[in-house]
Order: sequence, then structure tokens, then C-alpha cells
Amino acid sequence: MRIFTIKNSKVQTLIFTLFWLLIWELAAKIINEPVILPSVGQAIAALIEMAKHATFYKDVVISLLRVFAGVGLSIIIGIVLGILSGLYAPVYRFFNPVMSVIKSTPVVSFIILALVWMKTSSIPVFVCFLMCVPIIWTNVMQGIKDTDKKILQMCSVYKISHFRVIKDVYLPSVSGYIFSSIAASIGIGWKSTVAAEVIARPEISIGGGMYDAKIYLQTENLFALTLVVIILSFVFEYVIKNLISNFSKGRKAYADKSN
Amino acid sequence: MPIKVTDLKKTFSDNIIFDGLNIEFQDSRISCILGPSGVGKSTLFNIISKIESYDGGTIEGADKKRIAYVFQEDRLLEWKTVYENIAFVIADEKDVKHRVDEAIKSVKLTGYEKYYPKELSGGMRRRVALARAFVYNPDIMILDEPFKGLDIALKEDVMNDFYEQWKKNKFLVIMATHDIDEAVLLAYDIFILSKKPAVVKFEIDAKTMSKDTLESIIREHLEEAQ
Repeated sequence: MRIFTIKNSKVQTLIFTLFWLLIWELAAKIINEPVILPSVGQAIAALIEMAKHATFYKDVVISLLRVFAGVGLSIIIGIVLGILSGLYAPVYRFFNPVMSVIKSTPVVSFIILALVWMKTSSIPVFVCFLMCVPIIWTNVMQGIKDTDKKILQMCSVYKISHFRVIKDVYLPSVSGYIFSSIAASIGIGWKSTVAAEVIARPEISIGGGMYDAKIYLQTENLFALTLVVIILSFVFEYVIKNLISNFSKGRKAYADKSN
Repeated sequence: MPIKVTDLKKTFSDNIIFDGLNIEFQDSRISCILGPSGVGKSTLFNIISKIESYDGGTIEGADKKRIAYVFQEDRLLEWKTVYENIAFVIADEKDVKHRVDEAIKSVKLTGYEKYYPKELSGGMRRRVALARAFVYNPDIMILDEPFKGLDIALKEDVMNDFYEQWKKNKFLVIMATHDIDEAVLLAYDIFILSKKPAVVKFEIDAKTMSKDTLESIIREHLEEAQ
């Protein structure tokens, strides 16, 4: 078939995306019940309608800031604890049980617990942080453990200070692990933040809008808001990836030259 | 101060590397160690430079000394440039720029300061590792087959540069090599280690005889050590 001979991957992505949208549209036509499955047009119309109100932007910005805070906090704490746990076995043993429990606990358990502990507007940030920090921690720690032992031996012979070993050997070795774990946590950060918003329902939030859509059976609104979350997650991930690659120009130069 | 290794014992699981090795490296001289692969040359170097522990015996003369070590592999930081790799070992000291420039000049890498290791040939990478050892101004320099991988013309060049550099400060040098020419050219003292557990098979003051005699004696003893 001609479609498979198209070389340009962007064109392919576009065609396949349109194909799935078509499937959605067809299914909506067959079901013919917007409460169960609204059509693409209905979802977009709902989105345009929402975009006419200032509260929509407020919801989006506040939710975005929550994800930003939650992921940001998990990056800082995850990196610090990851480095310490990778370097010192007792630190690893100290944090490992907590991280293991967090990793296996369903996100709703934390949301419900947090409802008891704190005010509703802080819950999404807290839950996002809890979901992301084990990912960063695990990756950074693995990076530390995978750091070339021979380079570390060289550092010990030349009596390089601990500070410089961390800055010039461990951090560059771990940076790849940090980047991929940040990219992985952004998606999870969004999902957990919105889930926490739906249950905790802070005054201003995308999740609050989703809850309302469920109560009033406005399924097209739910689809529209989900679309917003997906787009924001993509944009967020894109921006972060670019920020990181600019931030680490030295390493990038090395990576480019080695290609 | 010489490095005096007395009754050194070292075992890796069931593999006895040293069972009472005695060897002494004189200060201000270049000592060469020859011997079959796997005889424990690198292990001895790792023990002297405190990378590895040992099971018994004593090592005198290496404590609190500045030790530079040129490993069998280059062990360069791939994310740092040539200049940064060399400056790395003296970053907290004085006069870094001048010292690094001198070291780069001594291994004939001027112009390559901003290159990354990945962009260099094997020979150039070895010269960066050598420059890193020189810039450190060591009391003791350990070289584990430092000229391996250099082509013949370059090897002579780098060896001569090494010798010129060394003459300025005359620190204690211990060098492992498989190459008899290297030993004949550079060594003051030559040790031949024989296999498992390693002992000093032969010790020779290289500067007391002609190069040809020295070469044939080494060859003879190396064959016996195999």
C-alpha cells in the first residue's frame, strides 16, 4: 500500500492520528449518544465554549503550576536523595522501604489520606510529588551505581575532592538518567495531579471541571478537558526537554560531536 | 625515598597473585617491570596507589606521596575537553593555566585543547593521559604500559618527551611494559616477574651495561619467566 511507502515520519504520524480520530468519530456516530461518547466535533465545540470563560484559563494555569511544583520538588529531592543513596548504602537502606511502599501504593490512597491531613489546594502538589519522587530517586541512584569505577579509581589516585567528584564525575554520568526520569515523571505528574484534583476538588482546577462534567453528565466537557491535559503534558515535556538540553550545553556538545 | 614492598600477599578468591613478594623501587630512577601477562603488574600498581587492598606484608615509601598513575586504559572524562581533562587533577591548585599549557605542549597536543576525547585517536588519548600525569607534579609516577597503542614514530617521540620531562624533576617512576625496547631505552632498574604467585625473577641495573647486552639478557630471562 502506498501509505506504507511514505518516508516522512511526520506525515505518517499525522495520517495515523487522523485515522484514530476518524475511528472515534465513527464510533460516536454509531453510538449516537453524546453522554456515552461525544463526537470529535462536540468535544472541540465544548473546548471552544469553555475557552470563552476566564475561569478556564485560571483552572489551567493553577493546575499547571501544581504540576510544576510537584514535579519540581520531586526533581530536587529525588536528585539529592538519589545521589546520597547511590553513594552511601545506609542512606539507601533508610529510604528504600519508604520508596518501595510509595511505589506500590495506589494513588487514591494518598489522595484520601491527604484529604485528612492538609487543605485541598495542596493535595494535588503533594500527591504529584509522591508519585514522581520514587522515579527520580531510583533512576539517579542507578546512575550513581553505574558510574565508571575506573574513572572513580583515577579520581582517588589523584586525590580529587569529594565535591569535584560529585560535580565533575557523578553528575555528568547521572545526567542521562536524570533527563529520562524527568521526562517519565511529567506524564505521571499530570495524571496524579488531575486525579487528586478530581477527588479533592480544590476551588480552582482542571480536575474540578472534570468532576462537574461527571455530575452534570457533560461527557463532551470531560473529553475537552482531557484533551487540554494531554496537550499541556506534551507541551510541558517538550519545554522541559529543551530547557534541560540547553542547560547542559557542554554535555550536548560532547554528544553531538560523538555522533 | 624508595618504595619498599616486603613480603606482599594478595589473593583474589582462589587466585594467589602474590605470596611474599619483595621488591624495592629506588627514588629518582625509572624502574621497569617486565613479565608475562597476568603476572600481577597492574595489581601491584593498584596496591601501591591504594586502589586495591592487600592481604599481608608491608609497603613503605608511598604514604602521603603525590602519585600520578597512567592506567592501561586512558580513563579520560569523555564529557570534558583535553584541557579540562588535564586541568581536572590540579583544579584546586595554583597556576593551573600555565601548567596545563606546558603539559599539553610536552605531549605535542597544542591546538587540541578544546577537543573531546571521542574526537582523538588512540595515541592522542594516551598522550592526554600522560599530560595529566605530568601536570600533577608527582613524587611517584606509575605507568602501566603507557606507550601501548602508539605507532613507532610517535612512540619514540612521546618516549623522548617523557624522558625530557622526567629529567627536570627526576621523580620515582615505576613502569610496566611488554616492550623490551622501552625498557632498554628508559629503565635504570629492570625487574622481571615470573608467574604465579609472582616473584622477582631477575633484577638488573640497566645503566651499567651496553644496550645490546642488556637486551639479550632481558630476552633470555623473559623466556624463562614465561
